[in-house]
Amino acid sequence: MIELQNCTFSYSRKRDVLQGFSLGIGGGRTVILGPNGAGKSTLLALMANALEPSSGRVVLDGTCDPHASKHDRAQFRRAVAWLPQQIYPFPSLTVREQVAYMGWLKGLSRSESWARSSSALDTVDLRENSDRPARGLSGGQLRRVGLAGALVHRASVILLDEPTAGLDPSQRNRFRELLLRIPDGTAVLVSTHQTEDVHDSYERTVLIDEGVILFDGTIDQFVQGTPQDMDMRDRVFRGYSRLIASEE
Amino acid sequence: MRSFLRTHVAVWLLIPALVGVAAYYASFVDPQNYRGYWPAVASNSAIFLLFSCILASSSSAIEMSRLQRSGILDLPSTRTRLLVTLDRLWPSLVLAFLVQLLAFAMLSLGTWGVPGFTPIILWSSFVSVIAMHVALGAVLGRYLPMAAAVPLSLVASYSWLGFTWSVPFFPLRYLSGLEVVTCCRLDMQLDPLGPFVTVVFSLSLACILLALSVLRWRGRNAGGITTRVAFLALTTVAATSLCLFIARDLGAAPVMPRSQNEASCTETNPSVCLFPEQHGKRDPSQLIIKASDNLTRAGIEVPSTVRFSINASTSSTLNMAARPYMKPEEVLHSFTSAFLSPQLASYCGDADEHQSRLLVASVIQGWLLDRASVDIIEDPVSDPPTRVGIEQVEQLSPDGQALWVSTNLPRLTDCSISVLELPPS
Repeated sequence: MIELQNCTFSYSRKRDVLQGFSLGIGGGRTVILGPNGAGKSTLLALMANALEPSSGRVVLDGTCDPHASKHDRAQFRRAVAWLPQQIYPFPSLTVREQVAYMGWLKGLSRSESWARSSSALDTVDLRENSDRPARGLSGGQLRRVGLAGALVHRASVILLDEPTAGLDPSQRNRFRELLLRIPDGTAVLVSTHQTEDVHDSYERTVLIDEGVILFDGTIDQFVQGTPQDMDMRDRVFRGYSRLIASEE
Repeated sequence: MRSFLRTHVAVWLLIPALVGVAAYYASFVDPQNYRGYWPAVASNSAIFLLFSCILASSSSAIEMSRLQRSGILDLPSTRTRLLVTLDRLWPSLVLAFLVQLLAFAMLSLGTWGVPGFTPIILWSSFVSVIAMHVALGAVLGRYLPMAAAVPLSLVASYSWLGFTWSVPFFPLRYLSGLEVVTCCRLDMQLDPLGPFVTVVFSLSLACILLALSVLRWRGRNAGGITTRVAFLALTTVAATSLCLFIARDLGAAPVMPRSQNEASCTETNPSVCLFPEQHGKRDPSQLIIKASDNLTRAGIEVPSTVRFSINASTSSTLNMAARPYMKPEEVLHSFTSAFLSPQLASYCGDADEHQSRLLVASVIQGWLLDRASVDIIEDPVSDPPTRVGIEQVEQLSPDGQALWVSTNLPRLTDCSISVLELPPS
């Protein structure tokens, strides 16, 4: 569905965050696991077309390249929703207005976006907060607003960058439940540095560090890896052992 | 659907802006300067740009600051950064223009029913100036924290309007848009070149500042950022230079004599030519004819045509200064002043001699006013030194008085005659 082809990206000339990086994401839920600084956020921003690779390309459905034409870029951006780690709502908007505004930014008309915002807020359990100022929400609620913003324009790819960072366990569980409500056929890519976030609702797990894919498979394969794999993962994640323990 | 307009800060800032307009109107506005002449009403409303532009710049600074802080400009949107920005800024432009319109509406009280119209170029210049201040606020909001951007936008808008207006280098005034505030009396019309310069400069700067406020400094498209910034800087210099060049000969205010083709003349002696605004209420023609008869009886030759014009009078045409709704004493004062040159007397190099000329000029004008006012108003001259001078002239015979006045009138501006003196008492 969405594919990074041989992408290189750096924030400065000193070091490439990603070099010749390729990854394809199809339908279903995928989690990208990696320690801080592994390149997860950069990867998602590249996939969202928020950043542009210095070489290589990002394509949607095999042909839609956002750099090919304005039309392709609009099509690409309409199909892909991205929730960065930090969400700052527009100060004067209510929750529903914020969601509708996100739909407008993605190409919907104001009236259509407004009409759809209600059901999107239903999906993320924020209907009762529709008329509250968005800036008064907690971190967890803001992420749900962001998710509603992705649902309102019916994105076919949803990229969630560390959506559970800073949330308490109950909020994290709630967000996990919300992910299951995302319509089938939507590609969902979640990045996290917390092994606790990796659970069996993800069909695919990708482990990256320093811009290199260390593992790409199912959660079962990830948990039941070879001793060499486990040593490597242990080096990458100190918390990995805890994940094994919890799975057992 | 809830109104998105409610979420724009310009809506809330509209209230203090309107209070400011009303307070200024009540405290400082003199209707005598503009009432009864549409171009004057519109041009005098330019002073209220101080309120509309401050509303425009401060509200756009807040909106842009919010956009920047919420990271919306960096989100991969299908809308362009320019469109997303304009979506937040258009209420600032529209509501600031509304303030300008309301100020115009307040000033227009007392002019309804008078024929005429306001020049379109003047409204274009108001919109352009407001657009420039919106863009100015947007740049400040984009690059500064809100706590700094908002006060700075207030200071920048006020300083730009007030500073350029007060400097003696006249072309600079035409960049800000306030120069039209001294236009126009009934006998003047707006020189469209003035507001045209304002439109060109303001729109150029609005585009440049807006481009700067949506500039993307990172990413693949950011390549050639130096070229873009250099281009914007060069365009600013070019637009400023061009506008200063166009405005170089415009003087302190963009006014020019009003076309006399607009006036219609009476078939009387003298023929009095009135502009459309002077017909009906307080038509001064009968008063002028009566005053003219009085002067003729006193032995003064009145030109055959009386017009309202800023041009100097000639032997065949007396050019009076004019305002709509002139009171009889104002008409008489303007009528008799038209016999003298606008500066009353020439300065011929000696201060004492000049004082003497000015006194004679004052006495001549007072005598003309005295004679023209017979059976119209009582005691038109109240200035004691002038009254004393008139009494000296009145010691001459009636023919002698007229001869003294007629002889000395051209001498007031003739430096070849060294000293002008009153008749001995």
